[in-house]
Amino acid sequence: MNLARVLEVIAASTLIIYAISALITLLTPIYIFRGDIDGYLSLSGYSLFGFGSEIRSQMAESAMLYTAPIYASALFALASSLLSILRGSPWLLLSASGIAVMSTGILRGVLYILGLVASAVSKDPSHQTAAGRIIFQGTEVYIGTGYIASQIALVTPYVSLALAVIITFFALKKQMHGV
Amino acid sequence: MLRIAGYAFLSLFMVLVLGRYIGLPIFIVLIVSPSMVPAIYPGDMVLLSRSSFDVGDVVIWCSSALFCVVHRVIEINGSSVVTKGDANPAPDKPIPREAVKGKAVAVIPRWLWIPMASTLIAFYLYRTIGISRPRSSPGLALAIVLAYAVVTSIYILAIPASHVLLDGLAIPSIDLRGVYIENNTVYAVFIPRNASVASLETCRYVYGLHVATCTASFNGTAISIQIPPEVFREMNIEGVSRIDITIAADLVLEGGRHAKLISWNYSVFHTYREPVVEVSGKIVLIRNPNPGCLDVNITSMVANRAGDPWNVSSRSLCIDPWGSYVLDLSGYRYASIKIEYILSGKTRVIQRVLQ
Repeated sequence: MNLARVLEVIAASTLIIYAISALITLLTPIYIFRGDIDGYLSLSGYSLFGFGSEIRSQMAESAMLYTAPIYASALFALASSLLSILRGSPWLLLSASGIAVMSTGILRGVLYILGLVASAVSKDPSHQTAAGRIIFQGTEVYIGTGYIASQIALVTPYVSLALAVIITFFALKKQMHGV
Repeated sequence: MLRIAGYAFLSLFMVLVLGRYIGLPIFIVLIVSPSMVPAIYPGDMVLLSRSSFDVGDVVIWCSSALFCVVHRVIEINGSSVVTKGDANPAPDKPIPREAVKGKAVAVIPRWLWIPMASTLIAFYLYRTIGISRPRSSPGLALAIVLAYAVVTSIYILAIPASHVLLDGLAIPSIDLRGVYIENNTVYAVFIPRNASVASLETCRYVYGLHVATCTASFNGTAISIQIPPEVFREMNIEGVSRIDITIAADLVLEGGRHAKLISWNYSVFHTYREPVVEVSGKIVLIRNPNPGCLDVNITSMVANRAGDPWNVSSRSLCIDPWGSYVLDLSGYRYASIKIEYILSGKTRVIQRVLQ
């Protein structure tokens, strides 16, 4: 097995890690809340209950719709990586890595939106009225599996893209020299 | 020919998506919120036109270039419009008429447009790029990345972003309607909202330089605090009229959680009223209309014959709250009295000649 092929397998494996971590990010809770407000926020759904009523977040719902390109990117990365490992296709790997890098931008965006919602949920509702200061017990925020997976999904595409560029360079060189 | 039709369709779609931003008479948006369920579901596309609207129409209004809401008009008041999502429990805040950018004319359900778009894209890729027979070229890789970038950009632009972070979060609260004193009880009346007083943790009051712990009882909306008569008496003697009450209460909230209320100083003012002195012949009735006892010093001067020296006697007493004291001098022919009492820290005198 030559160096280019080894790098291709490593890049494809990295891309598979990206795809799996991206899917975990999309499907599992990013933030979990306990306290005055109970529930979770994820990129595929949310459930928030506070003070006896259900709370809705249109911003979180928007974030969920923005994730469609990330699903596409993860599935494409998974398919391309498998094809690349089995049959060898550096161009497909390059395009999948490029798409994955682009999707990290969207992922950062939707994570930022969920962060805003999580901040609003965990914001201390203590306030002052004419009666006095009303102090609440508060809401604790826990990081979910999705958040940890997102940190992997945000990094791995850059590794696989860097490797894919090297592999492409080797492939182009091979084509040019007809070796 | 097919390729031209594909480009034309894609261009038309892009123009319709961008129509909201460039002011076209018709444009489309993608719905993200379930606030209009069952009329419009998340993922549905809505075709809108910039035409006049009336009550009952579904319109899009925007608070900024990016943040838009598609809801139904429920009221039009001159220059303001009130909208409400069909699935929302409450209407939105009134918006100016010019914030409304268009009226919904058609809904393209998600089950229709998503499969159609997917089929078209797959067919297009199959026929034009040849994805079914992969060609190894950097151009193909670049084309796929660019296609992803374009489709993603259009998709993201078509989603009307919402700026509503949380909706339906009713934070429990308790407000103060008023504090008043009646007889010897201070009442603090509250306006609770999804909260009620479960128990009182501390209660104290300050008058002058004194601090005391109070006992209070409460029902759902009011706390009543008993002030002992001695306190009113001391306040009167020291010339203090203000009582500051502070409480710390445990609140039980809707849903079973608890919160704490640390009150401000609830100030109530109380000053002693003048005693009522009623004279009937040689019988004197002194009534104390106050919640604390009234310190009085009564000096009587009596004589039975003109020229006799006055028989002077004096007594100090405290007339009970709301009580009275009767002085009967009817056994004397000549009588006069001097009543000295303290009112708001100052000594006052009432003198009467009894006939």
